[in-house]
Amino acid sequence: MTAATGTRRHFALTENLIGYGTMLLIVGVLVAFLIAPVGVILVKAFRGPDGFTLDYFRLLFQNELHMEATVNSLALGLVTVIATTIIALPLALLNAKLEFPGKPLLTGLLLMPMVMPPFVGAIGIQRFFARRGVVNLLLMKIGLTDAPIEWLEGTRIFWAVAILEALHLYPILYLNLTSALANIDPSLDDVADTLGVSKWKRLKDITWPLARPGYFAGAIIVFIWAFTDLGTPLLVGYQQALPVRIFNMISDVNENPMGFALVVLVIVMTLVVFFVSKLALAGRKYEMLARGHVTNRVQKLSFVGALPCYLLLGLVILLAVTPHLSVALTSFSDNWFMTIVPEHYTLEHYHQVLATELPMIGIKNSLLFSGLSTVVDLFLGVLVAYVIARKVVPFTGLLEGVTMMPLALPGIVLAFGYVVTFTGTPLDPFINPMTLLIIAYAIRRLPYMVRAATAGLMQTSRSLEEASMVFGASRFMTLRRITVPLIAANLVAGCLLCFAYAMLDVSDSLILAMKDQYYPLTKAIYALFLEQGRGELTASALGVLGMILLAICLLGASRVLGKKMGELFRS
Amino acid sequence: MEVVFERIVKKYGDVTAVGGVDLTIKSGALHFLLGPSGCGKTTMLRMLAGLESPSSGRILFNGKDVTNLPAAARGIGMVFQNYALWPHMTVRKNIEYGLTVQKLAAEQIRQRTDEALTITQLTRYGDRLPGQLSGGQQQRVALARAIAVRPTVLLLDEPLSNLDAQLRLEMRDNLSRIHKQLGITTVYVTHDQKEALSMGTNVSVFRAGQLIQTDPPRQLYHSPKSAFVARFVGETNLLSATYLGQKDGLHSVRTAIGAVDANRSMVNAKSGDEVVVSFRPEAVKLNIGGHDSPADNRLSLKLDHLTYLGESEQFQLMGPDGTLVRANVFNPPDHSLAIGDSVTAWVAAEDILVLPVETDQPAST
Repeated sequence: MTAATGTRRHFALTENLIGYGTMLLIVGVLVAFLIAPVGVILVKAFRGPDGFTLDYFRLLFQNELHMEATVNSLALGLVTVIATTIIALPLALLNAKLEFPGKPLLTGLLLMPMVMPPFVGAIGIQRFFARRGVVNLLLMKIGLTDAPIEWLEGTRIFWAVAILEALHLYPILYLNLTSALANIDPSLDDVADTLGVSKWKRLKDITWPLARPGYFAGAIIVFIWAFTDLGTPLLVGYQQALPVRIFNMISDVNENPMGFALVVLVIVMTLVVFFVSKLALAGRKYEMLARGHVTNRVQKLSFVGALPCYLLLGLVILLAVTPHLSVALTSFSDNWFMTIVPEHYTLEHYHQVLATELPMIGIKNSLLFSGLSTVVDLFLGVLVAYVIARKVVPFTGLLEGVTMMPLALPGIVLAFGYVVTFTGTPLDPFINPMTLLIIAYAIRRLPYMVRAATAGLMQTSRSLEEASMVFGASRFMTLRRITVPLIAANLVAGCLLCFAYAMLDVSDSLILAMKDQYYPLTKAIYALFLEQGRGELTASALGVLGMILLAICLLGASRVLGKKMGELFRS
Repeated sequence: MEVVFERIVKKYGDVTAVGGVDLTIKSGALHFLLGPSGCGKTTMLRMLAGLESPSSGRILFNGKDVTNLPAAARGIGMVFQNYALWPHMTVRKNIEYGLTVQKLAAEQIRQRTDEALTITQLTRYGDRLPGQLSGGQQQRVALARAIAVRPTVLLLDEPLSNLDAQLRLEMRDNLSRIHKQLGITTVYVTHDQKEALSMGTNVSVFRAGQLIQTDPPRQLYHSPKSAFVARFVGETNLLSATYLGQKDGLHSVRTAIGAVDANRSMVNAKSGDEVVVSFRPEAVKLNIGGHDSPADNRLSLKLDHLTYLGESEQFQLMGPDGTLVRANVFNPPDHSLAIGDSVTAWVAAEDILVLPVETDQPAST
């Protein structure tokens, strides 16, 4: 018996090398760059000069400004979820139930906000809603108001941020709902029909309960995203948002421990939201039984019959692109002042981008950092997905859980943790943030890569790999010659997503890059934006270039992935 | 190559998939592992392939212990149930892959691939992708890929289960022909007893992780050692009976529908023991169409149900206590029997087998 046990271990050696090796590697990387930084924050938040203390939290809860910021950001998250629901729910139903000319193009355009970084849009919205901005000029021209309205003052600025967030984030909810609806076996609707159930009742009793897990999965991401987004409130100038407060504390973080307490507060609230929603959904995921031939019954509309659809879609798309349209207009405008649209156009600002140092550094750095982080993601992602999908080790559930953690971890928390953990080490972001930026980008996008690769592996029959091994190929050769080519499409899509979102990253880039020469694209845009004079114009031009780059990446990804793209944006 | 399983046990957690099996597969045989789903036959095949490792026990190839050898080092060819053709490679590339792994010279690879394509009649399809082939062609590619590597053992995992009935018959002949031509030791897993009976040199019947019986097809059908095998391999009538005794080489038993004498017994019973008698429906003769019966082993029954199939007619008969007996009459004569009519049936003593009582009834038959 003992001999058999011993040799069996030898038999499974290669298997175990991949399985446990990956496990160790992933856990090692995540402990060092995910858990340790958060741990350091926790420790510092509770440690005073004389050991354990709750003083910082006492001070925090007594600080009216901080408390106000917390309430503001929670409200921002909630309002954004409500607003995105109002936008996304009818759109998803429309997509699932109706067919009309031009639908693929229009529903594709709905996803545009995903390629438009909201903080670039923030530049546009400022110009739009400025005292002498387009909106006021328009209102005065048609005589609705005599004096310019201060849109971005007082409480109105909250709504400006909320609108920007909602317009940026509704596609996430829309994609989640769409894939949830697409997963519902149409015969379930048919059964309800044969029983004489009314349309409304069917929606309430059958469609909604089945789509609910998908809705919540998307809603959590939307909430956390809006709650912890740094870029948008920062550029709109909404100083009373929690992430902006944290950002302002970074520079003197090692003197003022209040920042730690504030970050811990963000972590706790994120976790509470996350687990409450998971708990509410526990045991509510329904497996579709016997899915035979799925032919979705869609109602076909003529061009005229679809007019309300065009109106709705057109309105949403128009609203969604308005901020970025404004940025684009700005980037081409020559002396745009006191008119609704620019009177003269120029390519001067793009010249400026190419001619000045900072924008080029930003582009170069971002391409390099994002590219390298994508390579890291590809390597780690394929390994993790393989171990998970093929159940190489017994506790793959744990591995999956740990790998997915970055989805729920706000970017500002991680970046903040990096600053406090690695200051004074060889990775010191104050000296050279490159390594940390690449790691931060990679860790936060790893879930997308793992999901994309896992989805591919799940669809690939395991016997295809077994066949290869039966014919004498090693596990590695099998992975290289059989598995990877079979899931190549998924890997390409995963890479494009990782790359695009690394290019778009705001919190890590803004917080970790401290010197001009290491500025990534987003920080370069921010820095230009803050510059007096022409800075805003150059920032707009740079923003437009960034958006074009992202658009290409994401279009490629969605072409490869199709409907499954929505499943990447789940919690 | 002779393959030996020695006290093979395979457990998945608390579930025992294979519970201590000893089995020898003779060199050059076409050996069937037969049984209902979940009986452990596929697990046996996967352990033989090296895709699973046994929890205990040894597997020997020509006396050499290969239990701990990974699949890659065993030199086997395998046809998977779903064929597992690599969809991104052409038919030719699929076949060449295993040869490339063996690092053969290019010329040799080409030659062996051509050979495999010829023997499976796929010469014209070398440049197609698997997705462009019909089910039967895909099955042949899977077979070509497996035999191209000149395997020491060829493993077939339900290779015909995804084909339609007509194609299945065709491929049976094909497989038999290729096996005869190449003479490779072949292990064939199936739940279809007709495949096993029609092609096998030897058939091993499995049930709930246990090997029940290994025999050549004729012997298996004619002399099943248990009620389970009698029922699983072909159709049979199984009646509970009491053993009465032995006289003139015949075993007398009493069933609920009368006493019968049986020629053979698989159980060492004494008078008064509970036993089971088994006789095939086609062994039951009826007094219809002018036939009459000899005096012994007569059963008085009533017609319960009948199905006319042209080349045969299936009668379901019922005894006074509700016992059902099926009779299968080939080349059926004309008759005017109606449901409820009395029928006299008889079974020759050499067609009746006395079997031990089954200890546990399987969930499904």
